[in-house]
Amino acid sequence: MKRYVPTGKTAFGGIGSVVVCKDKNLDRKVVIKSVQEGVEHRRLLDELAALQRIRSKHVVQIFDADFFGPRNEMGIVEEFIEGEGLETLLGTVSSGEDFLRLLYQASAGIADIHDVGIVHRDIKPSNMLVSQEGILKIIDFNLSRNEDEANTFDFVGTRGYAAPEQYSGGRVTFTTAVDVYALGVTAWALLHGEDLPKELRSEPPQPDVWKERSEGFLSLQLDPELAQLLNDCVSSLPTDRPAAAQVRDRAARLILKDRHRALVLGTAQPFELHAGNRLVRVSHTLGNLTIEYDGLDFRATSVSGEVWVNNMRMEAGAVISGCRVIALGSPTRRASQRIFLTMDVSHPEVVL
Amino acid sequence: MSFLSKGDGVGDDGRYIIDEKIGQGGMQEVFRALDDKLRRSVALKVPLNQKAARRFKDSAVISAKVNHPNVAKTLDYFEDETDRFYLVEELVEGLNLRQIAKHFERLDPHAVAHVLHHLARGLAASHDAGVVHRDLKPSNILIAGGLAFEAVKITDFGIAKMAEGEIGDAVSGGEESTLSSMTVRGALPYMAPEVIDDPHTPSPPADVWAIAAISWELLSGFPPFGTGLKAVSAILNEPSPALPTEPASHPQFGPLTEAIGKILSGCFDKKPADRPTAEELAGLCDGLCYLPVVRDVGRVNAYIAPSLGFILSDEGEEVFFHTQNVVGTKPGLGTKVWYSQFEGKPHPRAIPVVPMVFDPDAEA
Repeated sequence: MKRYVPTGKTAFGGIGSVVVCKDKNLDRKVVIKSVQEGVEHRRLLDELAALQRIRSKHVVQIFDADFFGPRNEMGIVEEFIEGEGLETLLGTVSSGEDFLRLLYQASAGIADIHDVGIVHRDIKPSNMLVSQEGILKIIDFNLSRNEDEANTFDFVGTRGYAAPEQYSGGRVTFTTAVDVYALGVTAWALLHGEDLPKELRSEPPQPDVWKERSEGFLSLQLDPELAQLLNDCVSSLPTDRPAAAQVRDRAARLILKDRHRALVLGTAQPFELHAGNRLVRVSHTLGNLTIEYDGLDFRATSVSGEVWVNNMRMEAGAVISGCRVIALGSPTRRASQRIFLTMDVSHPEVVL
Repeated sequence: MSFLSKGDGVGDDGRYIIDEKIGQGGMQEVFRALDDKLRRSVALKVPLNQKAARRFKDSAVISAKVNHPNVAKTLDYFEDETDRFYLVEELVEGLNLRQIAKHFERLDPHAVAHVLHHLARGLAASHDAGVVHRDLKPSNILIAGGLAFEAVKITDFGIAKMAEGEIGDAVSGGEESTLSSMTVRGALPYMAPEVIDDPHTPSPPADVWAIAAISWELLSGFPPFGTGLKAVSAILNEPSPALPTEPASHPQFGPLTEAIGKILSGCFDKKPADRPTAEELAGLCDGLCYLPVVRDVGRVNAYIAPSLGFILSDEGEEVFFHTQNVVGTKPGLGTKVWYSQFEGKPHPRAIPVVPMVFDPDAEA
């Protein structure tokens, strides 16, 4: 194959050799990752085909697979991403928006992988690249070896990032929860650098001991709900860990802090609630309502009289999300006696 | 007639197996094909004629430099023993934006904000990679999922390079040749003034103008500077057009429409250097508040009051709507509508509700 010409550079991460090549057909750089000897080619192609089902902005694209070099090794041709491995950013990220954007993308990519029933099995900072545009992509799926090897104890994963159950030996069926564990550790490393706490480095790791000692993410200046989710990611029991999508959704919400708007129609004048106008009181003989925007949610902070939202009685403290119909006057009254308002919450879209 | 038909295999070991033809432009044919090696569906493009073929490879190389979720990804390019050229691209199953727009009088501002935002991001990444599109028009923008609106992808980067000869000839050749050129007729309403002056010098600001013109048309229902040759003089001489009154003053959709209109008017500066860059445009869109664009199609099946009605979704669900959430004319009973659905009791609520002027069910 003379189509791919090595540039002499090697690329980030991964097991086996990873070489940057020039694709002469398209005059662009690609990455060719050779697969260890002993891999059954048919099986590898099966796995590559499975990866094609993933639809994600945050997972590396595979172009081709073929035999290369003097030893005729199987290689996977992937997109070349101009950028840096996430491991170069460890410890340099503060807990603000940069952290949230990286966490959002990593958890979105993992959620997309899990959506099609695939487990990555080796999530860690050096298996994530951040392009010049700031788009994070997950690389290097831990493809399985041949059947014989899978039957023996064969630790796959990376110390510090591998979940406790990956150390249990023998035939273990890993669930998506191993990736969620690694996501949690990756988040910690982003904020604190590559030197992980000793309980996480031990083999197998003892995350519950670590959290007992240090409170984990709850000790940081983070949104309490996100800190709790990340602490739950780093749990000893797989069933205690959240889905990657939960981390993604919370991170997205925090990125949009103070940027939501709610348009209220049906009053004498339409009005909007947003960061510059956080409170509205609606007063009427049928009922009274105060809505406040705290930067993340629109909440009914006080309710009295007959106030209904989507045909259910509104309770004080309720969060109003999406597009709602608020009624003053209970549904037992005639429609003409009731006052109807609509409240529609919108927010900017996170487009990377 | 194409030289390719269903079941033909092209590429090494017949890797790409032709399924069916899914599109044809002035320059190329597009097929859906199965990549037998990685077992995925792809779009396979072949140049239509030898004249186009000359520049086909250049366009492939140009598009391959861009790597962004809002740009259809170039996967492969090869030539076979018979000197035929093939470009393999990410398959975007759905409709192009021209086909989408045909269904409606105009789109709601939430959908337009979403399209503009994603186009600006894709364009910013392209310009960053040194690639200028030069032929942005609704038919070059693909919407994955069609009316379900799953993703926005720009395609046919570099095709302008193939068409360069044709556009240049047509613009300098006057009315007859311009109107006879399909390529030019499609692109004219979105051309920046400097492109009309000098079609040979590609510039990033012209791409910004083009996506602004596309968004303006979606929002208003007609292109900002008209169509045909009248557009040429309007583009060159007339000031940035004001949005039509109705969408801009609508109680529900007016504020967002105006916010988009303000961003777009800056993109219609006659001086290319005074327009926002694609990156700046994307930054402006980062501040726009809009509803998530997850859309369904249904049919208005009842009005219980002059302003309150029900939609029967194609999935058989009854969805409530208020006419103040309708874009444009109040839909009559039986009218097909396109809408986003939000939680509600006893029925979900639809907002926005966009009447369809072209009913895909009624076709053929």
